[in-house]
Amino acid sequence: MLPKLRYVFMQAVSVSLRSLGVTAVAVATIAAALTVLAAFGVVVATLADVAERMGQEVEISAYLKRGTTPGAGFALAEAVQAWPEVSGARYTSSEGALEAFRETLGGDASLLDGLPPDVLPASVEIRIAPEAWTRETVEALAARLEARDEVEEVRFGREAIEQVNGFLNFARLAAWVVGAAMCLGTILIVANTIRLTVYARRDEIEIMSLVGATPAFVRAPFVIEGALQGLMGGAVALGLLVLLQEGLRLGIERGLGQGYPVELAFSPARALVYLTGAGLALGLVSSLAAVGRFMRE
Amino acid sequence: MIQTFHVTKVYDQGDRPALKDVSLNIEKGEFVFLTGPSGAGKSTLLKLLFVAERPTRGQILVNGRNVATLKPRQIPLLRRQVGVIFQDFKLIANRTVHENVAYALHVVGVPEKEIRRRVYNVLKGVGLYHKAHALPPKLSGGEQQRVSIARALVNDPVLLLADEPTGNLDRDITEEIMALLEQANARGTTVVVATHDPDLLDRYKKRVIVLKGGQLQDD
Repeated sequence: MLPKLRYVFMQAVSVSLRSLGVTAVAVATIAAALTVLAAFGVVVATLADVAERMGQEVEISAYLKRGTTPGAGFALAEAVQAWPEVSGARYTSSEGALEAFRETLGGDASLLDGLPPDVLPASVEIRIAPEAWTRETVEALAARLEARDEVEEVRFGREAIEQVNGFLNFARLAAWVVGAAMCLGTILIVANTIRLTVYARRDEIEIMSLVGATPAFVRAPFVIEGALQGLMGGAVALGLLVLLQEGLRLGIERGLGQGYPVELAFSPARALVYLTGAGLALGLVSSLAAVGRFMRE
Repeated sequence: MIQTFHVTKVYDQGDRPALKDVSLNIEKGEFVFLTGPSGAGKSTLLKLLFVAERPTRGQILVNGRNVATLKPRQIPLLRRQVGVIFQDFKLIANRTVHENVAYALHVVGVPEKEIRRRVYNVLKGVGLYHKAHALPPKLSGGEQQRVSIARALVNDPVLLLADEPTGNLDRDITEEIMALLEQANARGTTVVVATHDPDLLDRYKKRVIVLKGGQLQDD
């Protein structure tokens, strides 16, 4: 058994080295297909992160009735914080609101001089949990707030919520549809490339069978070769992806503007595992299918 | 060694049978020519003997095994006892002469040292040891056929099947190839040579089985 195993492994390695051109084409195809697929994965994951960050800025402002004490304001913020749709709630006093407004105006802050310190109403600013970013949930939340005795008026960025929601839905749909199509495309391209490399050696398969090789013995060198090509393709794809990530990051930043500083959802360690794993699986499955087909013919 | 009972082979339904009701018997240690015009069924009969094809009807015994009912996983085991030689040599172009011959031993799991010894002996026997590291395309037709014979003989087969082994070769080389087949036969291997060359049948006085239109014409 051991001489056979050693032989088939050495055969796979020596054939790969002997037909460097064919091996290079297969590795390059696998690398290109996996790079495109992985780059798409990084873009989708990054967009999901961006959407989450955008969502964190969707806030509801509950303006409190005049005369509401800071104690009641803090108590309201604390109560709202406990609601499941809410990820954060913060009380802002009249004076605090005026101070924040003054900071926003910057050099024109003198316009506010002479106004009484309680000219702006106190409020509770509520941040919505990402899982509750639907128009219905936010409207229901606003209605609950309006029903509170301390609350005068509730305002929220309806448009922003719809934007974030629409964007997230689109990103999810795109991830599924494009991702599935790209996975299928990758499998077909890699399977066909490996099939061509096997096809180029169909005479060898016939001769192997003629001299009494078992189907497993015939398949083994091709499958090992496919696995090695897949691993190498995955490793090259990782290198390309690392090079691409900076360009991608800049591209997304430019596309969405500087308001949302983008951190790419890319981890080299995770990519190493995924890409070499995907390359290995693609190489194995494709070569098994290709050589099996030629043996049946 | 070989017994066929009413063997018929039809490749595609509706086509004329490539072999029709062929029954014959070849004893262990015989040297037999299988002859007939093109399309007579010579190659088909050989293919049935090394199970590259299955008969449509009838039974075939090779070295005591019924190849018509052989399970797929048993086919490689039978082929290790049968050496096959083709007109177009069927050598792996990018493997050396040594590797081509050694392949038949690797599939059986023979240790490397033993492989080197046996390949050396068989290549010496066909007069090609000095070309052990050459690639087949660098060899002449006669040399390639000798490599193919070496590969067929390296496993000490009980049966050697040769399909037009001298078809592409000149008279001198044909004699060399026939001498190698006769040597194998002298060592006890049963040899079946398919040929449509009447000159070969005249020069070598052996048993001749004649096929015509897929039927046994003369024996």
